Amino acid sequence: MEGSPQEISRLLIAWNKGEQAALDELMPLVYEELRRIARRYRHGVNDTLQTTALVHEAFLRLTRWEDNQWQNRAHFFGVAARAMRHILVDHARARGAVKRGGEARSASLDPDLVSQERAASLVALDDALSVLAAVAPRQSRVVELRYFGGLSVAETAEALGVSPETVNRDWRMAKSWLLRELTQEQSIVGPRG
Amino acid sequence: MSPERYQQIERLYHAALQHDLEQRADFLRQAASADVSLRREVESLLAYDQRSAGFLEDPPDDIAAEVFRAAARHSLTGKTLGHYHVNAVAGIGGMGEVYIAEDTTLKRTVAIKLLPKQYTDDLDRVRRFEQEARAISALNHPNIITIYEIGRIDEMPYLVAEHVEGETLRERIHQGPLTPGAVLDIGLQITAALDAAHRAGVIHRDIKPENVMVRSDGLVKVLDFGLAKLAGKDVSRTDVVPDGIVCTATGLAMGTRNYMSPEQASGRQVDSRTDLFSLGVVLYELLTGKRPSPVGTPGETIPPQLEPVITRLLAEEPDARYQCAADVRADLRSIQRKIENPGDTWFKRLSWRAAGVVIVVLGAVVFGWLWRGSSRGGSAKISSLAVLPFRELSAQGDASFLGFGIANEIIMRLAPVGSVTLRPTSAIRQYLGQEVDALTAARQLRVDAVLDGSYQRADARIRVSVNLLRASDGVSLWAETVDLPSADVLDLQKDVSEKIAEKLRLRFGNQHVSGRRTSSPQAYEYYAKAMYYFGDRSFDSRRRMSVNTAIDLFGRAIELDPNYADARAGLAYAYAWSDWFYEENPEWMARANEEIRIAEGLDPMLPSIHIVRSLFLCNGRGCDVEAATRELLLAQHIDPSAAHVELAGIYRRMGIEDKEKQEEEAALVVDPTNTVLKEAAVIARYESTRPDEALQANQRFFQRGPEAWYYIEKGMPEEAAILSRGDPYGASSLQAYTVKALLPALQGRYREAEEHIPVLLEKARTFPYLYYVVARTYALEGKQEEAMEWLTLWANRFFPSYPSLVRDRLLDRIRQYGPFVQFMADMKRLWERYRREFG
Repeated sequence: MEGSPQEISRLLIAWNKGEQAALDELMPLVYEELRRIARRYRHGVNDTLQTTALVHEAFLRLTRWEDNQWQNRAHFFGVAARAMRHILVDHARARGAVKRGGEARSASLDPDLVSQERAASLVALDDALSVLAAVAPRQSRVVELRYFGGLSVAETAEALGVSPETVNRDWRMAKSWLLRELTQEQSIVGPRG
Repeated sequence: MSPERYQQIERLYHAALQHDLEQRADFLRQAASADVSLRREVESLLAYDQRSAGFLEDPPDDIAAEVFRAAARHSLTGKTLGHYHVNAVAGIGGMGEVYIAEDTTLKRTVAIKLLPKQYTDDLDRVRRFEQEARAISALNHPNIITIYEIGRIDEMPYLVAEHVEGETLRERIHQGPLTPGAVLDIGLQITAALDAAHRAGVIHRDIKPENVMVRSDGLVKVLDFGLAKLAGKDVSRTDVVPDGIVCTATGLAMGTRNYMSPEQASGRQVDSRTDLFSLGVVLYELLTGKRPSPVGTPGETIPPQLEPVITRLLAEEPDARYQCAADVRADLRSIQRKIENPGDTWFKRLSWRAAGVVIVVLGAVVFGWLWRGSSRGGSAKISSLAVLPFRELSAQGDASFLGFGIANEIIMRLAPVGSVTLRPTSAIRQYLGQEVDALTAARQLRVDAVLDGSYQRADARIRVSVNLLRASDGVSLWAETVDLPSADVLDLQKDVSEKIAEKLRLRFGNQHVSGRRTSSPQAYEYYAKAMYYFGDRSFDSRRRMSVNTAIDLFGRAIELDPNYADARAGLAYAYAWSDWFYEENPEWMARANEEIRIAEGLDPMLPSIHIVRSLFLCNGRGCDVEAATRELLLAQHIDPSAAHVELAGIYRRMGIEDKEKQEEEAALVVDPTNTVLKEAAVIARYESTRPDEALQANQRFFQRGPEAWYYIEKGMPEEAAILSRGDPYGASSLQAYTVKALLPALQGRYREAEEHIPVLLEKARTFPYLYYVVARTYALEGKQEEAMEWLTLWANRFFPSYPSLVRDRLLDRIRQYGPFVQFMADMKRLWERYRREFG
C-alpha cells in the first residue's frame, strides 16, 4: 500500500479539520512506512535505532518535502506517534504470548532481547494510557507524542495546538498519575505478562 | 472517575505545585477542607511527582529495535552471486546487509554488502562513490577497510570488501564504557584513517560506532568511507531543501544528539571537519556509554585527561574545532604518553607508595616530636605550629602545588593531635610561591614553631628536607632529609597533591570521617607501615611475607593502643585474607571475627569493618553476593572513596560489568599503584571469559602481551602450547593450573586433561575458579553431566555471572543439553534480579 505525498497531505489536512475517517485512512499508510523503514534498520544491536529518528524519517519519506505543506508536520507526527505506539505495544504483547507458549525455546538465551519485564511494563503503560484517555484525553495524547513519537515539548505543543506550558503541565501530571497507576497495579495484582 | 473530577484534581495539583514542599500540606488542607478524598488524591499524586522525574524520559528504543530486527529475515545465505559464494550473514546495517562470502576465483574470504536499490539508482552518484572508494582503497591504509569491487548482479548493486573479523565499536559500547587507555588507542587509529582519507580529499560523513571495527588483535578498521554520500544521508547535497528549514523552526533537532555535525545536520556546506565532530561523539560514547547531551544540559563525566580534546571536537562551530585529524592525533598521542609511559612523568614514576611513606614518616616524626615535647613540657613548650608550603629549590619562582599539597597533607594528619594548635591550610596558602623567611611567617601566624620544608629534584630522585624551627629564637628543633625516586613533576603537581591526599585518606582508614585515631604516635607508625605492607599483597602465596609482616605490625599497633579501631579492622582483614589465599585456618577466622566485633564497638562508622564483613560473606568457601554487596555499599556510603576494589569484584561476579568497570576506574583514581587491583583486573577478565579485555588490561598495566591463558580462552591451543612453556607465574598459580587442564582438553587429549582434575579440585579451595576449569574440561570432552555438576557449583556458590557464561566458547559442546538450557534460563533470571537491585 502506498499513498502519494499529495494524498497524505490531503488526509492530514482533513484530519486536522476533525474528520476522524481521515485518520483511519492515514494510519495504515504511516504504519506501512514505519515498517518499511524498519526493515532497512535491522541492526544486530539495540540502540542504533532511535524511535525519534524513525518517526522523522517516515515523515520525510511520506511527504517528500517538495509538497511544501510542512505545517502539517506536527499532525503527521501525531499520527506517526500513534502508529509507533501500536507497533511497539503489539510486539510487547506478542512477546508475552510467546513466553506463555513455549519457555524452553533457545531464543530466551538471546541477550539482545529486552527483558520480559520491560515488555510487560510497556503493555501496562499502554493500558494505563487508555484509562487516562477516558478522563484526560489531552494528557494521554501528550504522553503518546512525547514518549512514543519522541517529540519535543515544542513539537507536541504544535501538534496539539496548545502552548508549551500546557504541554509541560500535562506531561508532569500524567507522569505522576501513570507512575502511580503502574506501581500500584504491580503491588496489588502483580506484574502482568 | 469522571473527567470533571479529574479536572478538579488537576487544578488543585498544579496549584499545590506552586507552593514550596513544606507549605503544600497546609495549602491542601485549606484548599480542600471540605473534600477529604480530593485532598488525599492530590497528596498521593504529589508524592509521585517527586519520584517521576526520570520516568518515561528514555524513549522505548530497545523495543523498537527488537521489532525491527524481527521485521524480516530473508537471506542470501547459500546463494551464489557471480563468482562469490555467500556463506553467512555478518550483520545488517543501516545501509545494507552484509554477508560473508567466498571469492571462488581468488579463494579468499570477503565481505559483501548489498546496497539498497534506492541508493544506487542515480548512476552519476554511484560513479562518484566508486571514484572515492578507489581513491581510498589506493591508500592501502591499515585502518581503512579495502574495497575490492563495486558492481551489480541482477540489478542488485553490491560492494565487495576485505573481510574483517572483530567487533564494531557499537558492540564494544554494549559491553560497558571503555577505559581512557583503550579509547586513546582506538581514537589514534581512527584519526590515522581520517587523516589519510582527508588528505586524499575524501570525507567519511558517517563516522559512528557501527562504522568502526576492532579486530581481535586490536587493529581498528574504519568502514564505509563515502557511503553516506551515496546513500544521500548527507542532507547538504539535496538542493531541494531550502537552507534553514531542516535546522530552525522545524524543530528537527533531536533530544539526543546523533553523530552528525551541526553543519551537516542543518544542510550547510560540510568539509572534513564534520568527521572530527562525529569522532568526538564516538569517543564520548566510548568513554561514558552515552552520547553527549544537548548544549547546556549536564553531561556525563569524562576522564579529565581526555576532556579538552573531546570538548574541542564537539565544538558547534567548525572553526572552533580541531582543523585537521593530524592535530587530534598529536594531542591524543601526548595524552597517551602521559598515561602509559611511566618514564615520562612523576605521575607514574614516583611510586605513590614512596610519596605516601615519606609523608607518613614526616608526619609521624613531627607528631612524635611534638608528642614528646608537649608531654615533657618545660622551656621549649610548643603549643602552636604552622606547616609552610614546601618550596621547590632551584624552581624558577613558580608556585609549587606539590609543595603545597605535601604541607596540606601533614596539616591534616597532625590536626587531630589535641595538644598542639595547628594553623589551617587556608592560613598558609598566602605563602605559596612567596620567598618568605620562615621565622617571619611564624611571627605573622603567631605560632610557637614553624615547619619549613623544601624539595629538590635531581635525575630520577627527589630530596625532601624539613626543618622545625622555634619561633622565639630560630633554633632548629629537628631537621631531616629524605631521598626518594622521582621524575618530572612539572605538569602534574596539582594531580599529585590531590592524589596523595586522597590516597592517604584511603590507606589510613578514613580518619576524616570517623574522626577516630590513636593517641599513640608509635601505634600510628606501626599501623601506617602495616597498611603499606598489606597494600603489597597478591592473590596467591607469592607475597605472603608482606601480609605476615602486616599482621605483625597491626598486632603491635593494637598492643600499644587497644582502642585503635583502624588497626583492629586491618588485622581482621589480613587474617581473613590469609585464610582465603594461604591456608584455611579456623583460628584466624575466629580472630578476624573477634577483631571486627571489637572494632565495631569502638567505631561502628569505620568503612573497613564493612569491607572485612564482605570478605566474611564472600571468600574461598562461597559467596553470598547480595549480602556482600550490601556491606560494601554501606562502606562506600560512609566513605565514598572506600571499597572500590571490592565492589568491582562483586559486580563482576554478578555480571554487572559496566559498574564493575566504573568501580575499577574509581579505584585506580584513588590509588594508581594498587597492584592488587591491577592483577585482579587481568585475572578477573579471564575468569569472566573476556580474553581480549584481559589482554588490553595486561598491556595497560604490565606492558605484557598475550599469554597462554589468552589463547586458551580464544580456543587456540597451538599458540597456548608455545606460551605455556615460559609461564611467568610459577607452577602454583591460577594461570598454571588453568592452562594445564584446558590445554590438553582443547587438543583432544582428554585422558591427560582429566588427570589434572583431582589437583584442581584440591586447589579450588583457594581458587574457586578451578571448579569452573573442571567444568570446562568436561564440557570440552562432551561429558555433559559432569560439566553441569561443577558448573552449577561454580555459578551457584561463587560466580553467578550470566554474561560470562553466555560468552564462554569452551562450553559450546553442552549448549544444546537440556539441563544446561534450563540452567542458563535460571542464571539469566538471577542476573536480571541483580541488575534490578544493584545495576
